[in-house]
Amino acid sequence: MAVYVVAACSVTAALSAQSRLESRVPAPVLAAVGPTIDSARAAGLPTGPLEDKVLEGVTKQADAGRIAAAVRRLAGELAAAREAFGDRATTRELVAGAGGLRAGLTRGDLVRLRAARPGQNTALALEVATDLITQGVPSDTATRVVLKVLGAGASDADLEQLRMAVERDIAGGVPAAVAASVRARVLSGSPATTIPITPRPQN
Amino acid sequence: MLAGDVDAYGIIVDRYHGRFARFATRMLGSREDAEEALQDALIRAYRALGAYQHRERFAAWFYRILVNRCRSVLAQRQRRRAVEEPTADQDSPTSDAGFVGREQATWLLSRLPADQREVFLLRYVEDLSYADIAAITGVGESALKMRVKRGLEQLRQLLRQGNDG
Amino acid sequence: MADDLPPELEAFVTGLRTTPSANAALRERVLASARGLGVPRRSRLPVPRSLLIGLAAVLAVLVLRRHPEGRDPARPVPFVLMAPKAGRVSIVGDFNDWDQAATPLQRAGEHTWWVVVNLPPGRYRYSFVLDGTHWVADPAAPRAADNDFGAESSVVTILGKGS
Repeated sequence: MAVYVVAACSVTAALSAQSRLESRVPAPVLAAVGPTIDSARAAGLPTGPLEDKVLEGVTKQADAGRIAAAVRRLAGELAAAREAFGDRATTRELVAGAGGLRAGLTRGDLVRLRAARPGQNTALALEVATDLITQGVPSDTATRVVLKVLGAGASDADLEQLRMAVERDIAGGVPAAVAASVRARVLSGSPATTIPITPRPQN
Repeated sequence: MLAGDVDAYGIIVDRYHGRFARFATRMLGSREDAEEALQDALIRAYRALGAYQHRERFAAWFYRILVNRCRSVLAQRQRRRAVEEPTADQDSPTSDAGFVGREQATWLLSRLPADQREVFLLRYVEDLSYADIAAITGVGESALKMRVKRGLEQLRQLLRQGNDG
Repeated sequence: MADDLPPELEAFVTGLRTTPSANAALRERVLASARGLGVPRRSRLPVPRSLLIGLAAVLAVLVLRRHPEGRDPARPVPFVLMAPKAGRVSIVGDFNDWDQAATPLQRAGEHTWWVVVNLPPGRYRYSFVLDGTHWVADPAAPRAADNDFGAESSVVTILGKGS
């Protein structure tokens, strides 16, 4: 019975996915993306993100070929993330890994970031690294910065604070790499540098 | 209507069954195949109700699901190497001039390629606008109108041959 | 009109418009399936009966799972956009199937549009749509790494409880 329950879950998931798309997606697009989604499902990859990509493409009025190409690309990135993380990775981790690869993280970066938080969900760390890159921080700097704060025992809230602080600094004109490095230093508890204050001349 | 409200869905099934069954039967030329496609589509639509956001009329939303199911049935037929035309397809059933009986109607429709038959039925039997049909089928309006034009020409020619023969 | 029905086809189409009689058995099969009883449907697919029974057993308890981390309660998340020239604005994203009609924004004053969306913890890609045609990423949020369709999107991350 357990085998049937697992099989039934897969069939139900497949039917649910089909229903979710069939009510919104024109038939030519369904035909174009169906094989990729079926293959991803058969390979044990999450199909929710692929369906989201299809719906995004339909809403943005992309043609079937372009949507299919986007879905294939994402499926490949999810597979690469799973290859880096192993079979126990959660869907969110896989999606975060795929996003990181798209932004410019390497497979090695993914492995290092995951290893820096053993036994914990590393999705947020990957997402923060990705967001730093999309804001202009070089990918190697982003990886180094996130690893630094993780090494200092950063919580999810700390990681989110890092991202927001770097974003504010960049908006204020600080070069992206500098902003990331400085904020990481502060958050990881590196000793502060005291800047001597020159007294104002009195007249 | 909540996705879990089966009784409410039963009311919807009753209300729309006639027109959906009509489309499926005319499209597939077989009551048995039409019932299978319709049943499948109704079950899928029930599961997808959570995704139905009242963005469009329920009928148009459901037609899209039904059109896809009919296309799947036709594709399955092709794979089983079954012919689309009814077995008695060599000759058109005889008819009095001006009267088109059910057998003849089925035969005439079967003569149309599936893509022309589909838009012909949605336009003239189901009375849908080209905008709705475009949203249902994923085909642009100008392509749809071309299919209609060709379909009408073919049907007129077939009717003329049937009445002359 | 170019596609008016030719007179010689009118009788033909009239005949096609008759609707088949209601099929009570089909109706019951559909509703039974909806209730999760798994009544086997007539099908040419070689689906084992035992699999159908197993499917029926779990149907009642399975839900669509788009956000596996969604066991934490959803939080109200505000989205705000300055768009003084827009006639209507909506937000589309992973949380509403990218559906333009699902989540319209309201106007606040002359220039500002806003909406609050309840989101479980997770990460979501999204975009604003102005007047149904103009796509705008959120200037106040990070960009999504992917831009597959020529219109940039943004990302929002909702932390879980205990973060």
